Amino acid sequence: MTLAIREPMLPFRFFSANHTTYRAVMGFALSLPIALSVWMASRPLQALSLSDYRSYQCSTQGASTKPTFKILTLFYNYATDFADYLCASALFAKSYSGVEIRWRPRAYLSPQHILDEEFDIFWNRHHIVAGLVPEFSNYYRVLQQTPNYALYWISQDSTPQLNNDYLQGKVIGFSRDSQSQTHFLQPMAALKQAGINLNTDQKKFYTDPSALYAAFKNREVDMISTAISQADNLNLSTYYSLLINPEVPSGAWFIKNQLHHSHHRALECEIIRGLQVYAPLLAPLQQLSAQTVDCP
Amino acid sequence: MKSLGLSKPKWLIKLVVVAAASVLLIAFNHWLSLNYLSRSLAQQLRETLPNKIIEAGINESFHDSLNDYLVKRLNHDFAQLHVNSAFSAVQQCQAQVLRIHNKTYADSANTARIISLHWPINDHIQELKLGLACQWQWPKLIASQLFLSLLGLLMWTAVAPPLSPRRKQLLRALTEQGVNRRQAEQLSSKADDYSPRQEQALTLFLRSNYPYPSHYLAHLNTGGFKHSSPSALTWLEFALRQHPKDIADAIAIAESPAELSLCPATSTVIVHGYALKMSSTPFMYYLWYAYRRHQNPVDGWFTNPPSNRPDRRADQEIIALMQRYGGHAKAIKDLSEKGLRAKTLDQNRSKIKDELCQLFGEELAAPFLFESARDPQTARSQYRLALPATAISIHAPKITSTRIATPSN
Repeated sequence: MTLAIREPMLPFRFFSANHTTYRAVMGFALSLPIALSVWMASRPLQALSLSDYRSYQCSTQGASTKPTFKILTLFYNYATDFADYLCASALFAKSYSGVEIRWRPRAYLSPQHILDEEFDIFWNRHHIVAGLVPEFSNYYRVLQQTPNYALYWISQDSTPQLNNDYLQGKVIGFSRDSQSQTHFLQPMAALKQAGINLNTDQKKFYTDPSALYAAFKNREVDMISTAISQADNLNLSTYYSLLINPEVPSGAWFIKNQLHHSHHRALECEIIRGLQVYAPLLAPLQQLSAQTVDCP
Repeated sequence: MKSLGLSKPKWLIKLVVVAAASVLLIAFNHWLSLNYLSRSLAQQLRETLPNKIIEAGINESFHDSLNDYLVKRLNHDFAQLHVNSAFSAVQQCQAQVLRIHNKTYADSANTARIISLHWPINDHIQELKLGLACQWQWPKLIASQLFLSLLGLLMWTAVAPPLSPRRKQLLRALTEQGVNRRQAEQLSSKADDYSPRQEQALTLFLRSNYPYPSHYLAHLNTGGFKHSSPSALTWLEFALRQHPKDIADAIAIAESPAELSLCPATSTVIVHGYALKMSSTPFMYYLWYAYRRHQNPVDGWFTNPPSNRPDRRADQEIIALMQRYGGHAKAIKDLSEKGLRAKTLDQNRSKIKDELCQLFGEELAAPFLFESARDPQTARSQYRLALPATAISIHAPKITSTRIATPSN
């Protein structure tokens, strides 16, 4: 009599004691691979280190042991072009390994920065620097005055007027940055002089100029203060303006005294040439101020 | 080679199951990894990135060139995203800015997931869209998911459903027989699918205490007794009682057709496959009735002679049979002197019945005995073998074929 034996894969099987156990084991057999696969799939990403998007660095051809030339400015526009110009300079390569430029809010600059001569050059308004450190000339001096500019009220509906009748129900946009001459201090002063008290719902404050311009363009606010060159950049079909102040000082580039010695003259001239990258921004403003250094 | 393991289709089924499960797991892992990575990346970025972007735009009047710069920096920062585990099958990922501040920088064609970040600036919602793409360690992904599928299958096949009481009993019996566990499982595996007849047969086998259950299980597993008649099981019970040591013989008897064979040379009848040596004279009468039934398939009746007038023709047939096959001289002499009397016939039928019933019992013997009727012409009793003619065979030596005259009455 032949025995028909079918051998299973395993030497033998474990028999469940009862159906509940069996169902539990089958459930486990089914869920374990899935659970392990889920566990595998949910391994975390390495913690991401985002770089600083408020600064830019480039390297010169110089040795890496040399110091970095540090610049502080107020906004991104042309900052990288400026740094790139200096990095490409053969003259800079002799003294610096690289250039770092930061753009920070106006309030960022502190007395400590000035005392520590943290930056080789920085851009700010004269009165702010003097306010921070009255004896700042021990540390820094003006390298180049940036041009004064004319400041206007602009509106898309009609020529702005500084009287209560005109401003009735109108909303004016300001910068949230209370140190901003263009978008806060100057327009506030003009309103004060005209004796106008706006309701709180007539004043709207914006994080940065681009938000303010966007709000003006889509008529969230009726009136803002700006330089004409900026208003032209908004691509409005038409707008009306009223002069606030024909001569608002835009500020100056300050340079570390240590650099100002005669043997650094060539470097300063190179910096001034580099600052020409800002020309498209400054040219529409009024006349350029006289340079304080004579460069070839 | 002893055994090649599973039969081919079983292997194939398992192979297909593992392959299908692996493919599903690979797809699942792939899909889930991307979901998880894009979600965790979005989570990390949501906390820090909007602020960094807002800060980068400080004092900026127009975002156009800043956007270009941010995209360049962000793409650089997201160029190599690594997963912090040796268990992940993701080699590395990278994210790319698709859209920022309403300006589109890339299309989403080559990205597996899109991450959207939103933040408000002065009540205006700003949006950053990143496209995430990942490269995979395919060998690792495939091998790991294959391993997991195998693990699942291994657990699935290693654990069997609980045994029915019947199988437990069989396993115990088989183990006592000395059958190894694997074979015992296989032999008992069909027990739960037996037909009611097979169940009954199994009960009889178990009751017989036959020490090698593997023998009868092998027979049952190949369909033995599946469609047997109830009498076959009664025969099995009888045969197991008679031959408790020879299971093959018992099975053969039980599964024999309901036939009767007579071997005159040895005075032996084979009833349902079971041989019984009979006394000589009753056997001769049995043989005579068998011949009659065999040669007259439709009729085959023999009416008892009247009590006062013995049959003087039929007695010659019986005498001839007795002489040929060594019947008792006394019986031959009696027949020659007195003829075939009803009383003799009745006595011998009775002896035949006694001998069969003694061994087989009335129930089993009945189909192989006589049926009676009343002869409509003479009103006397007539008898014949109850079996149909086709179920009767006579193993007479070939040379001398005995012709029994057809009775005239």
